[in-house]
Amino acid sequence: MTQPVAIGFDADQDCSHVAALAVERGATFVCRYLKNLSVAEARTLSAAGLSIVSIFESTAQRSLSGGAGGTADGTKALTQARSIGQPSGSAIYFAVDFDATSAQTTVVLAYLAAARAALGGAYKMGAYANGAACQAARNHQLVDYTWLAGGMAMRGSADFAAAGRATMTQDVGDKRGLNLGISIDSDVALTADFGGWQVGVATVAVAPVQTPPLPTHPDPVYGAVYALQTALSVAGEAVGAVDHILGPQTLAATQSYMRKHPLTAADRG
Amino acid sequence: METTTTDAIPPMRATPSEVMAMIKTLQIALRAYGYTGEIDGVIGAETTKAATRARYAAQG
Repeated sequence: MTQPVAIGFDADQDCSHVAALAVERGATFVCRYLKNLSVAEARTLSAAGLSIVSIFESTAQRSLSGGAGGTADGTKALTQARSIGQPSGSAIYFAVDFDATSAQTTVVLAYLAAARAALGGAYKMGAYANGAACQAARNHQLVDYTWLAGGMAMRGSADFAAAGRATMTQDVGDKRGLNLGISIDSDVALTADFGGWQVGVATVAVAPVQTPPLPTHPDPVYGAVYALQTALSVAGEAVGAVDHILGPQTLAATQSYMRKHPLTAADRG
Repeated sequence: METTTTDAIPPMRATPSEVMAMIKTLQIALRAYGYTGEIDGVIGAETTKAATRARYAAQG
């Protein structure tokens, strides 16, 4: 496994009061939920020298909502990140906070693809998930960063980490002994660039990424087509292969869907 | 973060308005590939042409 580059932690509460202590004990980053991260906290964390890693999560299994949920969540994440001053080019990690099975992979990928498309390139895309989902997301070029959830016990995590493809890994509990007096999981960054950010800093820790670079592709078009194809497939339309290509079959499937499900005046806004 | 294991759950079906939102997202993304049509959530010839350009751009 790749050697740690940095130590940090994640918490579901305001960490302002432990920021200085965390730095003193060797932490260099903190992973925080966009839903309860305030501008004031972001400033305090940044002033203490911590990089912030943004997480978007509503519920643990939200990614099972597929493309529809991904579009909604990506849009919401974009608004939240902008409202707290998160600089463009840093990352938002979308949580797949359960041990997703192989049967759930397609819908999870549709969620990530739609979320990525909704970000519109303003922010880089991260996935917090088990190794199998991280691997699939990498294979489909849907994420820039991967964060292995909950230790190495989940599906595919040990292999993904051993292959040196994870950006970050999460411990179960405070395994690094930060002892901050609040409930945390410790985390390890395996690359210098993990998408962290600080208030007033354009980018943080930009360095050559150790994981293989993603192929160039016209994102967010790629993700948007993938999300659409998956949604149509789930609706029973014949899209053919879910291949990110807006070809005749996808076009016909979209038109078929729209004929069967005509939009109301309210839908059209 | 809490971690749970689940059995397979059927994916949620998108509503027509959600599908339309996905198409609008696609149309916005296609601006970079010459799409000049309306952001209306309806795939027509202009959307398809821009998507084809994006596809070939990706293939370099």
